[in-house]
Amino acid sequence: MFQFERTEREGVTVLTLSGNLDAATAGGLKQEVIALSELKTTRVAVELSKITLIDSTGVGVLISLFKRTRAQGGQVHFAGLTGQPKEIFRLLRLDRSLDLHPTLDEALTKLKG
Amino acid sequence: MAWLVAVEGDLAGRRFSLDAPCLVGRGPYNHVVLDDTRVSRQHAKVSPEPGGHVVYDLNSANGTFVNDVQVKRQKLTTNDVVRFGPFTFKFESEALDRTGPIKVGKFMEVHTLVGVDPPSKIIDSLDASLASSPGVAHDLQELEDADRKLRTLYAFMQSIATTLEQGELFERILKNLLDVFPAAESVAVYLRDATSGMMEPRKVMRRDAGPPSLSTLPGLFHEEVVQKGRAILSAPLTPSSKHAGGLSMHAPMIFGTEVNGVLHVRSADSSKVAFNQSDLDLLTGLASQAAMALQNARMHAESLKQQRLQQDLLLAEQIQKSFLPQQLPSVEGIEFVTDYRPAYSVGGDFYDLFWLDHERVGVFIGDVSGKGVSAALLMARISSDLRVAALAESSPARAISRVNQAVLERKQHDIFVTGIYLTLDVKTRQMTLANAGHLPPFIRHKTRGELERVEGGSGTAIGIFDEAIYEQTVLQLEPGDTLVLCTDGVLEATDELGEQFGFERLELSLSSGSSRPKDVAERLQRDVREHVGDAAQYDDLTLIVLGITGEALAPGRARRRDEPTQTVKKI
Repeated sequence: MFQFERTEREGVTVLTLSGNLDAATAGGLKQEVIALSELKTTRVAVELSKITLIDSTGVGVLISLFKRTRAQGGQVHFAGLTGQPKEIFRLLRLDRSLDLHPTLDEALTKLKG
Repeated sequence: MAWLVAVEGDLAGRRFSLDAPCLVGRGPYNHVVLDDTRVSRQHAKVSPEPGGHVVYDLNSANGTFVNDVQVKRQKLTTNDVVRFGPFTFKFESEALDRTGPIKVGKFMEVHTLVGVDPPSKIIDSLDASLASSPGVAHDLQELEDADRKLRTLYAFMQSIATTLEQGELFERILKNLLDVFPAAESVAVYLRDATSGMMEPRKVMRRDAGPPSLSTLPGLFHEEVVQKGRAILSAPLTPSSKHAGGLSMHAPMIFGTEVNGVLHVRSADSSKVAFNQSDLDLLTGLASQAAMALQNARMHAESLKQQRLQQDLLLAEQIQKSFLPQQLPSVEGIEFVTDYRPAYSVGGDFYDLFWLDHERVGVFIGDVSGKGVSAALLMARISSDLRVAALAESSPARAISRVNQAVLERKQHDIFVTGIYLTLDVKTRQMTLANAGHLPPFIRHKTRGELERVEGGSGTAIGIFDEAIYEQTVLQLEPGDTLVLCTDGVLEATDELGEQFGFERLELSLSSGSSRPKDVAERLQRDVREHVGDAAQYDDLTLIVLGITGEALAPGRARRRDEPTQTVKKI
C-alpha cells in the first residue's frame, strides 16, 4: 500500500509519502511529479518518514522530481529517511548529493531560507 | 372487450382483439392471417355490433363454423367455438365474468384463468404506444414486427461480424442503420472517451452526405442511456399526441454490465413521427449486437498490440544480448565467470568485460533503474558510451564521469544507472575501481581468510547530477582471492513472506565453501533460488566473479591468451 499527499506549507509544496514505493505503486506519484513540473513548482519538500520500502523504480521517481525541479531552477529537499529507504539512498550515494534532513521542519527551514 | 383465442396449431394461445372489425383470411392484409390453402383469401369478418359480436362468412370456399354449425352470419356468445377452415378459435368476451356458472373441464380451467386477468398486458401496451389505427389486431403486427426484427438483426450481425477493424465496423454499423430506418436522416456511434468518461461521437453518417455535426452526448442522454442503460425515444411531436413516438432514438451498446457506446438515430423531418416503440426495440437489439462486435474488434486490436509488443521485446532482447560480451577475456591465472538472469526477457542489468590494451582488462557491471524495453535500450546505449569512455580515459573514475555526462545529455528524467567500472592489470593483479552508487563489490581474501566489502571509490549513481564527482580506489588482488560483483537483484531477491535475501545471507554465501569463481557463482545462485522459493523473480540478477587462480604463477607472468584484434567489439 502506497499513498501520497500534496499540501502547501508556507510557500513550499510538501509531498508526504507513506507505504511501499515500488514499481507496482509508483505510477500515481510519477503522474504527480509530471504535474508538479508543469506547474513549475520551485520549492518542494518530500516527507519520507512513513516510507517503509523503496525500490529502484521508486527512487527513479524521486530522482525525476529532483531533476525536473532543478532543471527549472528550483530545489527539492528530502526529510525523514529511515530504515530500508535510508539504506538504499546510502547505497546509491544519494546521501552525498541530495539535501536530506532528519525532519520536515528542518527541510522547510532550509527551503524558506 | 372481446377476443378470438386460437386453441390449436401454431397459433395456439394467441389472442386477437375484436374491439374493431376484424378480417380473417389467407391474404396478408387480414388482421388474422391464416396461412393455409383451405382458408380463403378473404374468409370471414368479426364485427362488434350493438347487440354483441357477429361473425360473417365472406363467401369462403370451405365455410365458417360456430360450434360446428356452418354459418353465414352468427351472433357470438362467450365460449363459442369458431372455425375457419382447419383453424379453431374460441370467442371470449369480458361479459364472461357475468355469464354464470362455467362448464367444468380442463379447457374451461384455462379459460377461467385467462378471464381473471382479462386484457393481455402486451396488447394493452401496444394499444397505448403504437401509432396505428385503433382496432387493428395488434398481435399480428407484433408478429410481423418480430419477424422483421429477427431478419434485420440477423442481417446486421452478418454484416458487422465479418470485420475486426474498428473504423470499418463503425462504417458498416451506420450504413446498416440508415438502411433499417428509412426515416433516419443522421446516424451516429458514440464511444466512451477513456480519459473524460464522456460519450464522444466516434463516427457520424448523414443520408444526404452533408457535413455531420459532432458533439459530446448531452448530459440528459448520458444519464438515461449510459448510466441507466435505457434506450430512449425523444422529442415527441406534441405533448397532446396520443401516439408515443419520436424524432430521435438513443440506444446503449451494452457489453456485459458496461455501456461501452451509444447508437443514435435521428430524423430530419420534424413534422411527423419518425420512430415508434417498435423501432426503438429494434435499435436496442442492433446496439447490443454492435456492442459485441466492438468488443471483438477491441480484443483483436489488443492481441495485435500484444503481438507487436512481443516483437518489440524480442528485438530489444536481441539488441541487448548483442551488447553483452560474446566471449570473456581469457588470461592465464585469472578465471572469469558471469551469470545473467533478466527477470523478463529483457532487463535493466548489464555487464561488459573487454581488453583495454595488452595488459589491462576493463570490467563493468551496471543496473538501469526501471525494467523492460526502455531500460534495455538505455542499457545498450550506455554500454557503448562506456566502451568509448573506457578507451578515452584510463582512469575508471573519469570514464564513469564521462558516461554520467552522456546519460544526462539524454534528459531521461526518471532513469538512473548504478554501476561499477574497474580496470585490472593482469600482470600485477592490481585493480582500480570506481563505484557509481552500486552495490559494493566483495573480495574473498585467501590469505587473510576474510570477506571484504569494498566501500572505497564510491560516488553517486549515474544520470543524476551534472557535477557528480567520482572517486576510485586501488586494490591488490593476491592468488586465491575472489572478487564478486553483483546487482541488487541478489540483495533484493524476496521470498514469499516478503523477506529480502539481504547483506547477511549474501556475505554468508560468499564466505562459505570453495572459493573457485565457478563454485562461488553457483552457490550464490542456489542460495538465492532457495531463499526465493516459489516467489516470482522480480528483479534482474547479474553476477561477475573473478578469481586469481594461478597460485603457482609468479606475479607478472600472467598473460593474455586470446587475440588482441578483438579489443573493441563492433557496436
